[in-house]
Amino acid sequence: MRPRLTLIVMAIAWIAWHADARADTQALYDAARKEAPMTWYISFYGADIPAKTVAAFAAKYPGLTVNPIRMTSGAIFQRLNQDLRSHVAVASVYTSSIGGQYDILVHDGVLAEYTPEAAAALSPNVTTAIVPGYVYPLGTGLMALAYNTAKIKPADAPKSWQDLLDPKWHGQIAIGDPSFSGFDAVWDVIMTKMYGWQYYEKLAKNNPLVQRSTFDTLTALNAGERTVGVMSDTQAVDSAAKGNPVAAVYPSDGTVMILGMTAILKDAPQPNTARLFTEFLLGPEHGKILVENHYQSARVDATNELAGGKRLSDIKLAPVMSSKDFVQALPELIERWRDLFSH
Amino acid sequence: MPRRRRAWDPARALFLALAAILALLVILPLAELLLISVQVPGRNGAGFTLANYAQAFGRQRYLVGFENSFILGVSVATFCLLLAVPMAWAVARTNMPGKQLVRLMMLLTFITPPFLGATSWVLLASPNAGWLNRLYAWITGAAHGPFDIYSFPGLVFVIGIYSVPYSFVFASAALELVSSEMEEAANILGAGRITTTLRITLPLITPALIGAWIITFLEAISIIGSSIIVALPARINLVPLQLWQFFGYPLQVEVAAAYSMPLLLLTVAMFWLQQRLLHRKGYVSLTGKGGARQPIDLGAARWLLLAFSLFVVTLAVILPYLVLCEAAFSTAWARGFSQSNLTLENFRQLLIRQTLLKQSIINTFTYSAAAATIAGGLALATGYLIERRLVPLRGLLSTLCLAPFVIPGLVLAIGFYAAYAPPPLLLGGTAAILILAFTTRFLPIAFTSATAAIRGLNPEMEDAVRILGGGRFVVLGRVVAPILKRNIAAVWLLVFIASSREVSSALFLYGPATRTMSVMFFDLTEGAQFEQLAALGLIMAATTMIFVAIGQAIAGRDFLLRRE
Repeated sequence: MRPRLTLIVMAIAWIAWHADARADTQALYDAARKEAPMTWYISFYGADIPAKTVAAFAAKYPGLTVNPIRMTSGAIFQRLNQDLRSHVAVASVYTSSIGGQYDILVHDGVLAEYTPEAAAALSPNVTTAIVPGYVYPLGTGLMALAYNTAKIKPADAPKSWQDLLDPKWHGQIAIGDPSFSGFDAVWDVIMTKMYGWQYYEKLAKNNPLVQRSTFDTLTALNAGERTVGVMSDTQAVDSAAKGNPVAAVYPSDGTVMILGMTAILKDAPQPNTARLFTEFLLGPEHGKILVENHYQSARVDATNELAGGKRLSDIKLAPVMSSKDFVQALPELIERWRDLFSH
Repeated sequence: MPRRRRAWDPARALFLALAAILALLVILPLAELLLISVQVPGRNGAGFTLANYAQAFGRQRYLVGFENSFILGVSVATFCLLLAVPMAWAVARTNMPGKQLVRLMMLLTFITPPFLGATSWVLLASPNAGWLNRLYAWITGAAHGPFDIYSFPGLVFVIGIYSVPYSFVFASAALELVSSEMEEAANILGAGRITTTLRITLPLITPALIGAWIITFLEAISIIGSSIIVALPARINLVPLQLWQFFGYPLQVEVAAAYSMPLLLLTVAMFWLQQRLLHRKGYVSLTGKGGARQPIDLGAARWLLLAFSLFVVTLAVILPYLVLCEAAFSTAWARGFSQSNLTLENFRQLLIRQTLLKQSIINTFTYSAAAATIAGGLALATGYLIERRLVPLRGLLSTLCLAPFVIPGLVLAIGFYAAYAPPPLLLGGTAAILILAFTTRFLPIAFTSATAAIRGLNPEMEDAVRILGGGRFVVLGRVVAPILKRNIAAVWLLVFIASSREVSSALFLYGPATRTMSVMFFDLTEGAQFEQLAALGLIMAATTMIFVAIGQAIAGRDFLLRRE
């Protein structure tokens, strides 16, 4: 009974979609209400935010349920691949911070075509990352410098990525590992592009503490095990707001921006919920959730506030890399990196 | 007279059923893994290749990972025995005071996720800011403390200390079954207490000790949490770290599968070694003839043993939980102990805002209980059939029961998802896939401890029942089960706790309604909330203790924490 009804609804939606590419929100909502709860594969931001996002979505659209499955970017991509390989459609929406994954998905033709209405409001900062009709950026995180305020005076803190190479930081630096952490991987690729591989050979001479990810970097800084580190500004801001001795610095040679992207899957079991949810992810309410949690919304109208009351437009951003270049550079970089920092 | 037809043998029927279940639980996922290891990467399954193997073993660093892991496994397994055996002996056979406390602390050690323990130990013994180093520097006036968790000894310690409970449970369960008769005989013949213990008691429990050694060895070479937290900063490449790298970007699942295959060979080698060592020696210690077990009077030495035991549990439980409590009740943990920093907010956040917490607690314990029951039943039945030589292909059955442990949880999970998520089973995201994964993953623990217990049981008693006309099931139900009650409870508890703290496979297999506490826990490690992480760690420990207490109430005094 219900599958057939769903089919009919899908058919109607399909016809409606082709009649008018800008699907009407109310019609989407009506169609989505006849669908089962939707699964969302997500690997972008901290654990609480997917929960807050689906709660806000359910509040805006009563009767609709989205269940987030959040994993590390490698694990979630593998799970999606296994679903696709065995032709079991589980997730309808796929959100990840690794742009290169979408290149593969687009190439394999497993994404659904949909141009979200809300995409019109995306900031020019991020529009280069759009794959028209398929992949859209929903928000960004920033990779910046941080230091322990109990041990380092603001004036003495490093101001740029280059400052980290100064021998005075020998035994003081904490960083993450690109094979474990997506944020660190992007930072490594950008640094290598800006300063060459020598950057890490020099950094290695300062004997940095290499842990899994920015989370551990923050812990090492708070504990005083190390005094300066590389992490997302939001982590430093959140932790400092609680009273921990940590502060963020936006490096003068360019803060690294990490985009979260989202797409709908071609075999989405709940295509209408998926579209409505995509509109929501790119829309103002979700933008507000991102900003409240110290991430940056990708929308032009978002009031992104950075540490120290700065705006995104006030700081220098490192050049954004195309996902194709990123994908090409990363594998070799990770191997060299791990050879350098492991034995 | 017509020839009598062969009577229907329940053992054979049971064998077929067990073989089928093991095939489903072990062979199917491992076969999927093997298949993946020879697949051309890519979604469209474009054919077969050995290139994945060439890649998996084609770089110096990858091979060093195997070497490091092997040395680590041997060190950890030996370290565990050295710590656990004196404690187990003291608790099981002597008049050492405070036995209940030591048991309770061992239980707490066991329910502590190794991941959580390692995190705490980083805060305790990191070279610059570790509490112990600062304490040392404060007392002695030295510039630096002596401890460095980011080192090979540090790694052995932090993995070993949370594997000690395996060795402790194995050794104490076996020691409790050894009757005093043989020890008394040795005493009468003039052997001293120490000689008796070393020459009689310990050799009698060799099967349990070897089992414990193997389990802790395998645990050490496949553990991911502690490897990430300690080995990565120590810059020591290990098998699980290398595997995790294959799971990053670029995703190389095929190479990861190929890289795990030697671990399977290692399991087979372990099993062979076990057979060699135990070959043709008798380890029957339980004759059913009763025989009182008198606690050995240690005199003043009992305080020495108590001090040793308390030292071990202080390292495993008391110090790490002190660190966790400090963080869990702090607004900002780095500010240290002070009244203004004291808060219950972290717990409130978890309990009120995280609506998922309640569901994940229920999930964790239902799945763990189900896995413990299935794995325990399977292990006892298979172990019994093998030990009593009732079925053919015993070597194969044992290997099947031991094989899953060595495959790191994440890789095993890939095999599970490949085997169970597609049609016809369609178990993706269900409770069943998690229960089956936990069952398979911890079947080796259940099997090893069940086999050790059965091996110590004299078949004479069972033969007596058979001679008197009782069938196999009467033997099992009226003789074997009652005698091994305590061991069965221990097997169940081992799998239950191991499942409740399992991270790596749960992380990959969970679905919208089947989140477990360990998944939530891992989530928090990516959200920069050390305070909440610590609070959840305390909630996990507390709820597990509650469930263990309930278990104790149901199973009576024979649960791990038995009353004296």
